[in-house]
Amino acid sequence: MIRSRRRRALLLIEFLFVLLPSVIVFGLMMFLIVDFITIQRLAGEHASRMTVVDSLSAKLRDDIASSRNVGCVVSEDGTAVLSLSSIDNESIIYRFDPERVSRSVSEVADNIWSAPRLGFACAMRSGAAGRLLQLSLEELPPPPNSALPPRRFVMTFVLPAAQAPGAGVDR
Amino acid sequence: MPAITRRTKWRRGILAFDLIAGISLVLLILGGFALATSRLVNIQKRNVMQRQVRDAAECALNSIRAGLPDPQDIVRRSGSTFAGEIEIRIQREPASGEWTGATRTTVEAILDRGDQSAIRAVLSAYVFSAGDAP
Repeated sequence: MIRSRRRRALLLIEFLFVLLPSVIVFGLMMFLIVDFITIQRLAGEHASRMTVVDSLSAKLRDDIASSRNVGCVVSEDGTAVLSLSSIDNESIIYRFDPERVSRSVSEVADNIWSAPRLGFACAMRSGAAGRLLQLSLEELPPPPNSALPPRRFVMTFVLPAAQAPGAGVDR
Repeated sequence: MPAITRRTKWRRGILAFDLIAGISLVLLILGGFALATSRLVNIQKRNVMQRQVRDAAECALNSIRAGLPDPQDIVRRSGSTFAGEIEIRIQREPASGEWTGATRTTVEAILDRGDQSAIRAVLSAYVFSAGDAP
């Protein structure tokens, strides 16, 4: 009888000593797994946004390189309109809005680049040999973590020097 | 009586071993998960940094091509997340051969935060004095 009671007591102690920390540790592990999955999801979303950005960058570089004339007007609020004349005399216009960038050829829209929680803003600087178009991309954090700081990326493009007064507006 | 004492000691030994083994195993699993999560966070952060360093090098090179005076300042004021911590090194040397008259400009962007190996991006371009064709 005594041995049986002692055994029960020992068993109880073992349960208390092992089960309690196990519950705590597995609880913490659950948080870690949730974090792990969240990081993977956010990485996937980031990669998707960067694919959009890279596609825009490649197309814009290609258009600038193959254009004859480039005109760009950047507004105070960061929106911009970039007008290009291609070698085939086609008019290509890029509109940079806060949430999207659109491209139209001869006034027909053919490409729109946008992604959730991705913002665009433009700035222009004039130098001695040309103009520098800076396209800032702001990646906002997902809603539950809105206290996190946004990530900012900057892409730059060189444009020829402004030929006519007012063709480029410095900010 | 001595036989009972030996058995009790044996049981206590087993119990202590069981406790130590159980808790260690659980802690080991937790530590492993924490390490994996931390590494994953670092990899993601480093990917973002690598992109920003490459963008900074490109920004500096494009500033030179546009004839802007201070590429380091332009990178710093660009507003990208790590812009203030990126160091820009510029090397200029006269080009030869078919590129005579141009300047071979090499831009190196370095982000060294001390906690891990520095991230570098090196870009080069031939820049003519009158500005490079965009």
